[in-house]
Amino acid sequence: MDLTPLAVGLAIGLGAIGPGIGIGVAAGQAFNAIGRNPEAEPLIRTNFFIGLGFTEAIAIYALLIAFLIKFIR
Amino acid sequence: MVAILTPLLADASSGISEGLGINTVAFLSQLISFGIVFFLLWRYGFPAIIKILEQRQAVIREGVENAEKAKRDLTEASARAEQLLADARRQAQETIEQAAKNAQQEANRILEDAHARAEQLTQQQVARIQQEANRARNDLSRLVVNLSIDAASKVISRSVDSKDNRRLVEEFVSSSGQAGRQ
Amino acid sequence: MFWKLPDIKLAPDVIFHIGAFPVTNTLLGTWMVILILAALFFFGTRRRDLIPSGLQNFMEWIVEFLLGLVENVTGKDEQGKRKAKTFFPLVATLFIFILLANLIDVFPGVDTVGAINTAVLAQMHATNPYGPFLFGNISNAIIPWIRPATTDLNLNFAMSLIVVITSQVVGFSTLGPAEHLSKYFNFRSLFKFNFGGFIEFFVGLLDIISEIARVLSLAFRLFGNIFAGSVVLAVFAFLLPFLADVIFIPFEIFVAFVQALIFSLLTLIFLQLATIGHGPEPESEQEARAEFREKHVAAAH
Repeated sequence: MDLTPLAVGLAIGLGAIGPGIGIGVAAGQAFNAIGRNPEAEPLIRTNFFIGLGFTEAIAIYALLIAFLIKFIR
Repeated sequence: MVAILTPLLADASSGISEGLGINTVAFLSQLISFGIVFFLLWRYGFPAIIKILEQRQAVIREGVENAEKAKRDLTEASARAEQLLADARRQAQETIEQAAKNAQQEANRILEDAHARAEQLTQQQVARIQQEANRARNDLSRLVVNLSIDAASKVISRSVDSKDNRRLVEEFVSSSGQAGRQ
Repeated sequence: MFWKLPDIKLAPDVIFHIGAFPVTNTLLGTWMVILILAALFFFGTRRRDLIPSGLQNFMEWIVEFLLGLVENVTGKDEQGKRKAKTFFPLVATLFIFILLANLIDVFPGVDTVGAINTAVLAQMHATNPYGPFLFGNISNAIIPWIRPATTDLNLNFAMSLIVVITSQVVGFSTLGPAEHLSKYFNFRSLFKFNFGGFIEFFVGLLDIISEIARVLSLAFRLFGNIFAGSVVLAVFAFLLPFLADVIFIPFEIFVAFVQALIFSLLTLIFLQLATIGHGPEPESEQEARAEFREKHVAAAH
């Protein structure tokens, strides 16, 4: 029985949980910060995007692993 | 690093690097392509646009400076115009006052002249009138003498033609005339 | 079925050879971006109007936006402006190049116009009865002529290597070799012979690994986002033809912009970090706050 589809689905599915939570927390905190201190909005936005990039990279690694499992034998 | 990383990836798992499509030729061709992009933009692309931006900045700065200078000039010019106008007004006032003074003087002079002339004329007239009056009085007294002699000769029916009588009458008339005048 | 789920291939395909030099479809994408960039800059700077309009206005807006971005990170004082001038060409080139390369993804015909993959047809014992259009079972037997350049890991590794090597060069030239190397080989704190010093030395060694991880994460982040984006477009064109991509194409345009921004912003931050030695840390929380406030005020103005 070929378990490759299961492995692929689990890799990306489990791998996306962490970044999903992380991006949610980061975005929520960023909006919170903007609400408290609207003048700092440009600075917060820039740093938010940087953090987003780092967080999202984890999901991309999971995606990459999924691709590797699927296409490389 | 390129030299280390590419074989490293290739050796560690030739399957992975092949599956991901990483190979030296493709890597180098992409590297060179990106290098060309970078070089072109760095040398020609960005400087051109930054030059336009700087030119515009210079033009705008110049324009603002010119406008400020014009404003300053305008303020100066209007101040000078104000000054000139005030001067002119003052001069005109002075001239008018001078002219009024002159006119007053002239008028006074003319008036005095007229007075003097009038005085002179009056005196002349008075003198002539007196002269006339004297002559008339003389004529009248002579006429009165003649008349009184005629009347007396008629009354006394004789001629009072002697020199003595005549002198007498004249003296009388003259004295009565003087008494009458007084 | 009108068509099959398209083949998902990580590796770019070789379209033709110039001599012995293989030209892949992603390399063609790169060359397309070069041509578009050349045209943009040529027509954008041809008429140097004092009152810009159209393309010139757009190019000036992008350049000013990037200059502002760089100066926001390096600081607006004399030193920061000088640094911004040094960093600007690389950061701006990365941004504009990656943005265009990503945006090619949403052009019609990219990924969908190409040569017929005769090997797949032969494998399926099928012939192509539809002329220039592929339908049904053989609809994925295609080798696209043009693929977005950033779905090629070769290009992404090339760019991320350039970034990390440049940041090392900048570190060596601004801090001097001794100071720069002491970031990684922190013997000064090792010879304090206490636990904290040992930890700091170890963290310094870990930084070497993190430099290598930067190369991988920069490259894979860009690759993953854009490749996944093009796969999403393809899959939704299969699941709900004509309709779903109305939503996903704008989303991919947004992703293209965000990824270009993140790549160039991270480049900028790596370069900026390379110019800062590990100076004295702020002593107390209050000092740190004051420093932040100062920085924030500088950034806001």
